[in-house]
Amino acid sequence: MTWHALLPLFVIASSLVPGIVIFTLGEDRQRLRTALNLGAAVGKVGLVAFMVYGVAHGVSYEARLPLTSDLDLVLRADPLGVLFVSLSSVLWLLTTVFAIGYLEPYRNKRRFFGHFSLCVSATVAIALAGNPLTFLFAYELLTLSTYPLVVHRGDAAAIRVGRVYLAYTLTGGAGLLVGTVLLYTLAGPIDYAPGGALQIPGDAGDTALWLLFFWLIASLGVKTALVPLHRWLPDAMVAPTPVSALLHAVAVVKAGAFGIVRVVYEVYGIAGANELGLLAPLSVVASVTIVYGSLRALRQRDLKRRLAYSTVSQVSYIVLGAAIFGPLATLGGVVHIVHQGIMKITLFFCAGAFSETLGIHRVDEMDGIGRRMPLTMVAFTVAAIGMIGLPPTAGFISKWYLGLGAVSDGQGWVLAVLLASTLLNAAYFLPLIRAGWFGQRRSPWPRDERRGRFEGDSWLIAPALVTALLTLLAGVLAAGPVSVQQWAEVIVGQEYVPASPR
Amino acid sequence: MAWAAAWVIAIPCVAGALAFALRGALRGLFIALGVAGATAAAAALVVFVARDGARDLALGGWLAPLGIRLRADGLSAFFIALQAGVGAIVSGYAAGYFAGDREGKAFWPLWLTLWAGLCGLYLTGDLFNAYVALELIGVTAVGLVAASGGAALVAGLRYLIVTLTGSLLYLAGVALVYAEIGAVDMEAAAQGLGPSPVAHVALALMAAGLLLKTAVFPMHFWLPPAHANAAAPASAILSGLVIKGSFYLLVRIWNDVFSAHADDMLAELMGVLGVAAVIWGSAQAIVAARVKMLVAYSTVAQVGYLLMAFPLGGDAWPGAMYFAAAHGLAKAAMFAVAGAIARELGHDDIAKLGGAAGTLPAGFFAFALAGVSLIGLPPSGGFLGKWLLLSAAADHDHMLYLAAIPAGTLMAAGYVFRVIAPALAELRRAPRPSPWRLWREAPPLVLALAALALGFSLSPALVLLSRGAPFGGGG
Amino acid sequence: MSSVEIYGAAAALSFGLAVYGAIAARPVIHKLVSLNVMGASVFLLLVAASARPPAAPDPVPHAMVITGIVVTVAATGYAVALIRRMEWERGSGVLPEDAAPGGAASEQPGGGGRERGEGGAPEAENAAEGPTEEGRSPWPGPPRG
Repeated sequence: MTWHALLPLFVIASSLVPGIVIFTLGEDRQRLRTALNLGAAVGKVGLVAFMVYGVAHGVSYEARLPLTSDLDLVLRADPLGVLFVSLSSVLWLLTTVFAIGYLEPYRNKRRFFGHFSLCVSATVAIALAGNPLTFLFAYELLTLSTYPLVVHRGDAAAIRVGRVYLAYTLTGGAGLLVGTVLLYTLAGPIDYAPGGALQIPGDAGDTALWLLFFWLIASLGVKTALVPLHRWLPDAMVAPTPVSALLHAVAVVKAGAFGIVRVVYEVYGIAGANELGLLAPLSVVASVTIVYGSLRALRQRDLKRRLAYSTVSQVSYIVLGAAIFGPLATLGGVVHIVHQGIMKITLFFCAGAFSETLGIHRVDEMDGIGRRMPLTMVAFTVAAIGMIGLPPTAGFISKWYLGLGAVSDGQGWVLAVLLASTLLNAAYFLPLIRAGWFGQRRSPWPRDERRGRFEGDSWLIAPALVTALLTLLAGVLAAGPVSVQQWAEVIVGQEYVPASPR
Repeated sequence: MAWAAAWVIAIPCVAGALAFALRGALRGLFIALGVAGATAAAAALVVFVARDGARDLALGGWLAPLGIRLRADGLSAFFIALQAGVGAIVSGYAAGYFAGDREGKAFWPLWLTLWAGLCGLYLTGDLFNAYVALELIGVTAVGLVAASGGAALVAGLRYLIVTLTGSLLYLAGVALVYAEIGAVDMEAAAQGLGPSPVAHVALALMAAGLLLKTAVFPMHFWLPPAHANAAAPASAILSGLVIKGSFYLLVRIWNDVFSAHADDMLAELMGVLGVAAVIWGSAQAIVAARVKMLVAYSTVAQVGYLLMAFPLGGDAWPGAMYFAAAHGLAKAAMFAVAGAIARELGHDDIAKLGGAAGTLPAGFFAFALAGVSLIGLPPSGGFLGKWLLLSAAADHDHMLYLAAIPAGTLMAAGYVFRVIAPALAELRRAPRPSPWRLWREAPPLVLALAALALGFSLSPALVLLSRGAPFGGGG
Repeated sequence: MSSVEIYGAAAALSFGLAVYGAIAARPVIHKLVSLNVMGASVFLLLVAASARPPAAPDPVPHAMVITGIVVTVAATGYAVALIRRMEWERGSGVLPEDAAPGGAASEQPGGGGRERGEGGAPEAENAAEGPTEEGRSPWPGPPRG
């Protein structure tokens, strides 16, 4: 096995092994555990940076384990996978910092950080999965490693929500199992391939492929929280905030959306999907989810639940990008994988900082919070503006390309969806910003713990500032030489080259 | 190779006798030597079969029909590997479990003799000797249950009646085979049996007896009380290994003796019974009050998947065998943990498990890992077994199995997480972890990790299973 | 009708009766005797089938029958010991699920026979693993007298 085959394994092992080690450490080994966590997260970012550099220079990293004569487990670093890996490893580092601060007063840290590491390992495996079987492996591992995090509080509500979470995600997983088996039966064992692995037309009857596509989308749609399969996501807000942050920005929801992107571009191929007429229904589902999620977010009084419904809406931009034929829309969808991640995680970091520092959980308690915690509120404002989609933030870039793509594909109605979503986003975020900066505080804070040198625990606030900065940079430097958009253009270039005959 | 096959049977047999006759430290020594020797012999046999292919072995130079003909092919070696692997680890668990316990006196001779009986069954090439092995397995297995006394005694007696009935039904089939062709050697029977009514009746009788002994729905009534009331190491052996013995024999005669005219109707019936077993066993596990009862009903459910190979055929055969191996490992792990729970908490009542993961962290971790394989989530042997079964079902457009397997998966998740979820609950006062005890924590962890490791090692298992083409003409 | 067929028919008939007995009988000892009849029927069939007129009979089935008798006798003795033990511990020679509702059930200290059928583990069998009041000794004989 060469170095090129080992690198994807190392990237996974860099969080898996520390996770296992953490399980074996005693609960009271706080410093060693923190060192391991941070060391592993930094190490992973380093390995991924190396991988990005290599992939950018045309090196191919691939590890392959045969299960049977024709069934393989494959880990491969392709541009799309590397995009997701980079996002998850950077955000894992920041979330680890945040989680160390957040969990300081709580028990069961060993269990938490152990599963936290397993969860990231599974996410990275999803990103690097080179075929649907490997994806399924990692996808189910993610479900399992996330469950203990969702129920981490261990009270009756958490246990109940854990049951809901499992009921949804395992059903989706069982559906994906059947779908993958059917896919392999129809088309033989396939690897993901730019431009699509299936021969369309050719491999199987159109009807079978049409049905299978929506079976797969429905299975993946559970984690993606596509309406009407989204119910578990707002409920899962009982989890500790670092878990919510990871769930929404990096791991679970994003894994589902990433799976849909893989199915559209690298199983069916965007051209094949277009030919079979799969894209129009998918874009309708995505649009409904975008609008519905925003409408529900408007009515939520709990800050985290509002953010959760906002995720339902925002993640579907990625699906919408995949559902419109044309390189511009694809670009918008692909960059949104990263952009949604950094913006949403900023909001969760801020929400966590508010709740841990001042005991603020509800949106109507935010009056005057900007004067008490200005730095956090700045980060919150930047990310919220990004969510609304105003320049110069990352969110604007996503919406811009999605809109251009829709127009160039002749689907003007999508603009209406984008406009509605923008207005709704503004409607549920602007009042928070207004209350935070200009609201008059009438009652004392539910609690006020000034931990650390800044306005709160610096472990909680620093990550939010970093991701807010990234949100701005991703918007300002989008056209620069080293940017998410540049990388996404490489991906788009691959997906729209007609698949070479096999 | 011949010596390895003979030793696979002889070593545990002799060790069992010594465990009965000796006392004190010497007894412990011979038990340890017996387990180690039997495991080593099994490993050698597996290596030989994997390398050189299937072999016929005539013990003492006597040939059929008078000699005891042994035959080791991939299927035999696969099950012997399972027997030795799970057996050795469970023995380690039992050594700790029974330390200073009088019940252990009955356990070791019974268990080692059972080991010999199972290996004899896997190696025999003769229908009648298979009956003798079945009886040996049945009687010793009953002993393992009944030795716990009380409720287990009743369960054991019921089990004895059932297992004797099953053996005699099987023997009636053997007698019919003899009446038809004048031989009971498997190879001779495979060549001599035509599609006659007598052959069909013989197959039906044998299948009925073996399905009864495998606890296939609706003939499973005896299993949950027997497996749930035995001592934990015995439960692990019974659920993990013993029911695999009668299942193996059914697979063997189906493919190697009656292959030319296996009964399609009977195959479909067994598949439907399998589906019913998955649904019914899982439902019972979902409402079970005790951890051990839950795990026992889960065995009823998991046996259902094994039966789906009969109508599906083809790739489903190795799939079902792989599934059986994963189940053996995972189920043994679960019963071992259940035993630790019962000992540590003084009960295994699911309603009172709140926060128990704090008391037995390693145990519940092992239970969860074993649950991954049992549910059939990747990476695990259970997942790959289900994958192969599903692929076979998709190939033949068998909608029933295509729907039943994921449904069973979800139900299994339902009952596994019934144990995991309350155990993760946070108590107002954190429970103090019970001190780490090697015999109690390590065996279930090793078993569960092995079940997960099967998720990456399908390829060598398929190579082993193909030796001698045990499923060559089957399906 | 040849003698083999007569014997075969007799074996089939007694086998069928014995299967019925093993399922329908209430006392366990009755079930056990039925099982013995089942065994004897099979042995009858084997010995009858060994006839190869005009040649001498095939000796192999006789060896099998001898082996089978040994196995059956051993299993029977074992079962009898278990039945005695159950009678001693529970005061009944009937499995809980076979006990007639009402009068017959009341003779059982374990209170069996109440929950019948599926999941039919009676209460006593649902008890958590743990030492029983009778002590843990596996094989004490029944008390004398």
